[in-house]
Amino acid sequence: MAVVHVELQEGWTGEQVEMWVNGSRRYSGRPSTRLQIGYADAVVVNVSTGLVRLEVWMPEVSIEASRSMPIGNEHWIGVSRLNGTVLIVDQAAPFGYA
Amino acid sequence: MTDIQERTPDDQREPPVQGLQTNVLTSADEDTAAAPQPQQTDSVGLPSVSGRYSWRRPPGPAPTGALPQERFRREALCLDVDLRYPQMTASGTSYATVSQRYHWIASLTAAGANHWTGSVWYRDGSTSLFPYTAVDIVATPSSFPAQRQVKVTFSGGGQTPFTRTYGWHSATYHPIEFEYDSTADAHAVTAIGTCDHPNRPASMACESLSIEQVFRRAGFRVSRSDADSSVVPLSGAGSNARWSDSEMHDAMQTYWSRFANAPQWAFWTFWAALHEQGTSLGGIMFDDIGPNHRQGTAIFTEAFIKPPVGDAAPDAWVRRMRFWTAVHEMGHAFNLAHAWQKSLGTSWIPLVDEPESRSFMNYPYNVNGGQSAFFADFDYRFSDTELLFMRHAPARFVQMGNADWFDDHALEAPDPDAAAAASAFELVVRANREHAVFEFLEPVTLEVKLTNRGTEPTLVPSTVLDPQGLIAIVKRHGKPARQWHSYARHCRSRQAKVLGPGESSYESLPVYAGLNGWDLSQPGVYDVQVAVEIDGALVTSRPLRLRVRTPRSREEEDIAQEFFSDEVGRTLVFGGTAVMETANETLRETVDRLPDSRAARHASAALANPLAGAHKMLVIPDNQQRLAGVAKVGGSLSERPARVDDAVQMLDGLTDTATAETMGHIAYRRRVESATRSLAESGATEPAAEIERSLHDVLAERGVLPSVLDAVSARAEAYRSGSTDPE
Repeated sequence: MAVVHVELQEGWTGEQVEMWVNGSRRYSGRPSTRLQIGYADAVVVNVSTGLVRLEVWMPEVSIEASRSMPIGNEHWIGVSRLNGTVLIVDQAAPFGYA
Repeated sequence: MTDIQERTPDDQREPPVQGLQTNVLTSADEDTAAAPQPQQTDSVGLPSVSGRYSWRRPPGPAPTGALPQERFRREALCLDVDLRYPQMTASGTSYATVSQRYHWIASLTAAGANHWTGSVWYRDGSTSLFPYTAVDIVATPSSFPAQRQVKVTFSGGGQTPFTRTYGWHSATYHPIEFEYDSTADAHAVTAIGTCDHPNRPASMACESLSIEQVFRRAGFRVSRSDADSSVVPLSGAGSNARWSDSEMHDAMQTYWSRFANAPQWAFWTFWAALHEQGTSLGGIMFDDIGPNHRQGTAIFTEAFIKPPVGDAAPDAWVRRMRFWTAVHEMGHAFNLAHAWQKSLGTSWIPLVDEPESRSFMNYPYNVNGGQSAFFADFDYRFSDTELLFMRHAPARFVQMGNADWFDDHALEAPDPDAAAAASAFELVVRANREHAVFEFLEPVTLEVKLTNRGTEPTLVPSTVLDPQGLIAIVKRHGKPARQWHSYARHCRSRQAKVLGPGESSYESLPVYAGLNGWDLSQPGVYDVQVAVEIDGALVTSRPLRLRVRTPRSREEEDIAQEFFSDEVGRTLVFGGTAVMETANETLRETVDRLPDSRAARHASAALANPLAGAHKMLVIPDNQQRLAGVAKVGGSLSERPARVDDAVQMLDGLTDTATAETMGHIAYRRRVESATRSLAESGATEPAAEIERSLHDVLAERGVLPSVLDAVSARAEAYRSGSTDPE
């Protein structure tokens, strides 16, 4: 098993957001980015190691995005809304906010 | 604030720069040059002239043809052409009264020794008072502060050029005071050696660099209230020993020696171990709640800051990142956004994002090439656009506790001199009830009270509290502040009245609706702050916090759809309408469906008033073309007779204390007496007398001043004796 931290970062302004990890809905909310730290909300998910698929859906504005990434250990995924699209990045170290 | 501006602590001077022989004059050097000293020069031998200059109109009457307020005019000029990171910019702020304040910014090009010309590209405030488009600036440097001056010629905009000479004030643009407090488990870093870590620019000057020096180089006269620094007990963070924003806000109010619910050039920096968000949060400007934002920042020294594996100088790496974090959070207190967020929100001028900038406001680990690329090219500075904002934007955008975080709408702090002149007055905004809690749909009516706290009788404008003349700011929590604007603006001749020592003047403030719509209608918590202008000085109230309740029923939610309209707002504020039938229909529905509500009382008053007297109405035939002129299309005036019985029945239902409370005593009496006057003019003097007597009883029960009760009794008696004109 591995721990995945999915963190909603830049560009969230209160619209409905739903996120699925490997087909299971793991987040539903209306995140709002605190501009002084570039952070809105987070969810921690336990997954099996291997390929993990994250899907992001914003039903009110019909925006969706997805990405599959190999996860071998604890992992951090950042999800931002930029210029009308959803950007997903991932890294093997925690994100830092300030 | 005056105290801060005048402080010149010993640590103002920059320490010598190690390994660098150039003679660089810093703003701090200039700022402490109180005594005559040899001519100071910058690194290439030119006299330094950057800094703040000032001008004020000499005592005496206003210039011929000018408004009386002009005798109070004073101006500040910021010249930014040399010293650290020159922006080749001049900016100016001119004040006479609140409504006659303007701010301008011009870009400059050298036109000779100590001579610059440029175009004005930014204006703010009463811009009609500053039509000029170009500036020509000649500076006179001198070792003697009294001899330093700048002569500015304003031209363009179809105006005759004019020249103004500004005297020296300081080598900095604004004062700033820091207070550092920490917990026992925090490891604060307030200074570093710039060459302690090998990953740095090749040209980096090796020096010990403090946070204060960074901000001096940004153009600020920095002081620290070190004597008042505290060790904040860990108990403030609760049982988890991690700090939430609200816990830090509480700590700020308790331990910051300068804390005030007011704009000031000062803020609190707090070092602690961890935020409740955990190790991912290195720091935060946590103060984005309440009426005065950006007064508190925090740095969490046990957060994510860890050196890369194998780093050549891991201790120096950690200290540098903590130092960067501290200055970064403090930059937010100056209303600076992250480098990649410049284009978001309500920026003061259109800005583009700077995702690759080597600024304190960028994340080192987010640039191309990561942290090593960032620090290889980082000069421990803010970007040019950030320096332009900090030095030259209207002060209210930058000053702590003024504009909200990421928002540039707020009251500007009063000028210290003007504030001192206004200190004889106290202004209070209040709700006419024990707790400032209002029903959903209830039109929020407040009262303002101005008291002369001085020892001398003072002349004030007779309309000083007129809602259309005062400034009222409504701020719903979590939303930008908005200025309330009265529906009406009357043109009146200026008259004065005497306010004796201890005497007060009162006025009703129908803040619920205005030209912005229903600013104060949705359920939630609001802060309302008002200010008035007396002799060019601003008198500001403390904010009043009030709450609007959530709807109690589906009926209220239904009626709200029609109630919160422009027509209903105007009808309530103006005390009724004989012609806006849609509004009257909504008010009748409110009375019928919610008879016990506060909103129904306001509605009844607005419905009764037009019925109490005859109304002239302009009637235009429906079958004619519009815009053809009223007379041309057969329009005519007709008089709709009074409906005395209906009016009296409605007014009888309003003579209770609940109506007096929801309307406020001033508006309540005004509404009732407007109706009784109309009734008397319609011949119904006895009902008018009876309603006045009821009004007297209600106001007496609520403890209104005897002088008011006497006046109401006199009107009742006049109507009883058959008079139609009790005045």
